[in-house]
Amino acid sequence: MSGLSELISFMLTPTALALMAFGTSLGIVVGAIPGLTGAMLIALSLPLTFSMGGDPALVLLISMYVGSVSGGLITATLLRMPGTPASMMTTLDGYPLAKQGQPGRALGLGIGASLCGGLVSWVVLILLARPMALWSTKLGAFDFFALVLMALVLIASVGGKSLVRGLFAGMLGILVAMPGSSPATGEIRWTFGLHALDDGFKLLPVLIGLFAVSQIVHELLTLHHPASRIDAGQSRLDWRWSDWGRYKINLLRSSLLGTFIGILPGIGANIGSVVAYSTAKNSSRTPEKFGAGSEEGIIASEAANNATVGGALIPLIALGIPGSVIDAILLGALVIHGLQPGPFLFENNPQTVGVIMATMLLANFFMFGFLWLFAKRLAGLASLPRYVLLPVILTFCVVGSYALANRMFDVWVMLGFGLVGVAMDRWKIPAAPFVIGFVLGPIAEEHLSAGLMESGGSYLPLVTRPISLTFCLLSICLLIWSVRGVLKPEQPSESTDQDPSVE
Amino acid sequence: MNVARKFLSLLLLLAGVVCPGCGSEDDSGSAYPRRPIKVVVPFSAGGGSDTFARIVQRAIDEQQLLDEPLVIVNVPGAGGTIGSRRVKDARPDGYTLLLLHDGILTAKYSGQAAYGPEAFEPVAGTGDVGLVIAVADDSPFQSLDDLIDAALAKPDEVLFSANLGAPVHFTGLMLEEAAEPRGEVRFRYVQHGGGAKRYGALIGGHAEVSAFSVAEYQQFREGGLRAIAYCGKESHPAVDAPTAISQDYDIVSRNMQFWWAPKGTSADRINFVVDVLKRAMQSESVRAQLAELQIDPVFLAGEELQAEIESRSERIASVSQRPTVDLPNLPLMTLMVVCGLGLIVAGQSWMQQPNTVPEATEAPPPHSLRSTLLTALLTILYVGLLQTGRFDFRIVTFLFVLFAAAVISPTPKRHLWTFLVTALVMSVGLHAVFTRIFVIDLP
Repeated sequence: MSGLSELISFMLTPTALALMAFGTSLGIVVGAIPGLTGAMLIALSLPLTFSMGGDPALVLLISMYVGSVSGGLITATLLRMPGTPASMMTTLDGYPLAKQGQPGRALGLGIGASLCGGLVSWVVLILLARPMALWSTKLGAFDFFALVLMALVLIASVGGKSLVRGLFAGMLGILVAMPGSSPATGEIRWTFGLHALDDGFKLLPVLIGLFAVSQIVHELLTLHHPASRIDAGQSRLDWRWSDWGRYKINLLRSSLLGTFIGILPGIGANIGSVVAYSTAKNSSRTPEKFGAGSEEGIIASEAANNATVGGALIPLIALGIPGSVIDAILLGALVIHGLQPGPFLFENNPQTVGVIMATMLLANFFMFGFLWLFAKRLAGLASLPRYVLLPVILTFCVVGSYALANRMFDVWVMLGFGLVGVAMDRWKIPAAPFVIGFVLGPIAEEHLSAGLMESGGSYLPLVTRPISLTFCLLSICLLIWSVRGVLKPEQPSESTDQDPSVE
Repeated sequence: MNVARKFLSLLLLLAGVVCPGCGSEDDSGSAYPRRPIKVVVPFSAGGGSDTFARIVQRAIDEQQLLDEPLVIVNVPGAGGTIGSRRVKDARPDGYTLLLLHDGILTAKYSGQAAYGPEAFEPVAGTGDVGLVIAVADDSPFQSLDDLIDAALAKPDEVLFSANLGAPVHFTGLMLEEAAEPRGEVRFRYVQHGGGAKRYGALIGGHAEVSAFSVAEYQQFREGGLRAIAYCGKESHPAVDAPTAISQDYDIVSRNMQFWWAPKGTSADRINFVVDVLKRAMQSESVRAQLAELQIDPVFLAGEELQAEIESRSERIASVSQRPTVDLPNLPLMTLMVVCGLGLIVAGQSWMQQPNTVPEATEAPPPHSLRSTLLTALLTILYVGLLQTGRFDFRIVTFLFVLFAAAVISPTPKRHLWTFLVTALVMSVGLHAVFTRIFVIDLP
């Protein structure tokens, strides 16, 4: 096992440790500031990693990922504003508990549960990624196409509140990915005579525009909203060893739920915590306390949202299919650094796979340590003046888009998609399916074309190959199931009538 | 509004003062180079071409062959055509060069680009390596004869994993042509893309044969790849298979790294660059590193180079390309679905209109709205100024951050120092971080 000792010595180098510490803490800070999201941070940091090696870059980006999912709990608990959407459910119980004079307890529960969620999902990542990668070498082009198809249906049907809007956003994402050179033949299409478009819209400027720029506009329009803040200065963080035993079932269940929801493409941390929260409520002996400062509620939400991180990394590493927006950026990072995610990553770059997994583990401990030390102080960050924050982020947006390929065209694309993001916000069209569609569309087309070239133009293998047939049937079932859900008279679901403060 | 307007007019004024200072570039003199020479590598950092470029760059740097630095700019995309087009359209002043291998020929003859070598002044050809035809370890094919036999027995059924329009694809087409005396050979080409993906297709049994660069072949050999032919003139020490020529298939498919300058670049400057490159290629460090990558350290310039490019063009032009199977028009289908769904979404919103009116979002106060619009305006102005490329990044960024902060803050006068510090840190700091540490060439 020389590989393992090499990995350990790499992970313990000052550079790797410093990157991890920096990435995690920055992730936490950004996660804690409402309006700044992990996707934004990672998209903006990606250009900074171009000149690093692939491994240090991944250490940095994954630490940011872990940190940003966790940081949201601070502001959710103390300010009743989820720092990231993933901490939405934490506001329901964290804030009331903090208000009842126990801010330390509320924060402590969230931090402890976050660590547990991260660790459980890490174990699943270790156990599942390699077998899944080995299995996937057997997948032919048509199987992959069917798998991607299923992923697309899944995002649209489970990811959002409205099936039609989700589907529309997903298809719009695919459409936007169409101009440029065709992933199948390299033929240039739909560029409207603009040669700068020969390579299509790149993921990074689209993402930065969609998430960062539209968020900046949102912030600018709500400059006048003051924040109400609970001072946690006096209260000690409270997470006891006995809590592990007392909440072990809830912790394990929420973590596993989060992990498996993370594996499903397109359904990120937000849904993971909603599902775990509802499940915890349904199986709780005191469901009436949920929404009024229930300890179980905080644990379920925070364990699950951290667990989705490890879960979502599984299809990314094993199949090269991103499970969430952040994973889509990580996919881009891998490709930029010359690494091809998918089954052969394990064979060709075992070191890289090791680095990803080790970072995931260590970053969780870093996250725990940082939150434990600084959680109370970080609440103040939410009141960082906007007039400093926003121009700085805008500059990063511009420079980051430019640095991708050294051209101004991408900067204009970024600004354009900022407008698109604002419009989508205005008409309540979800952005996540759009991004996943944008990433998965070309993958689907590539595999479909390769399949058609293999079969000489016949679509038959789609239903004669057992694996692709299975995926096709599953997609159809999913679609029928969600269409039926839409057609039925709407029943108010538990999760929606309990979140008063989403937007 | 007053403050903002003052700031804006100040910005314009400053822009006017700054412009003449940084926009003037005197290129007419005979001294060359007077500023950094940019080499556009039309592929991402870390790839084969990029590695090659950086080896040469390091040698030039170490031996101080140039007074000004040689900067490598990665402009990836569309099989190298995004970067090559940029150089084609650049000013022919010798400060922009292109490093692009035989892909420039295959892109032209496969129709991916409308131009080829004729759109550039060739500078030099450096480093040459042949392609390897390989199969999976457990494949029944032991030689090209086995492969061609199979292709003759089952026309259009042997799957050739390719990167359509790239040299790999042309290797297959050349092989078909070289096998002509034995009968009509037709492989079925499947688009898999880059080396790792083609390797995956062979190992997964989704294709039967493909071509790889020697470097790729070495990387994947352990993982179950077996060479059946090397497409160079002589056999290669790192490839344990005879040449295609020795197997009686007359194909030579090689990749040479060519350096190009925009059409119209003066002969003096080209000769100068030729001289620098030649000396760099002769250096010990370059030879050692190229030997490690199994690249022949050849060096061609002048008429030799011209002849080599012509012979390669001829070879590639002679093979006929066939259209692949009819692929569905996915863009059009997607557009139709999007339109359909869009109509449904619009219809839904329209039907729900009565319910949503009461909870219509409160209008943002005038200050927020004004800041938003002004910030948007400033951003567009900022990007526009950067686009012209005539202003220093630091100055424009400094002004942008300063004014944006002023526009956003409700009480700009009170925080002036904060603005100044932020703006200074962002402009000078970012510039230093990107150009020094990350070696990215800011506008």
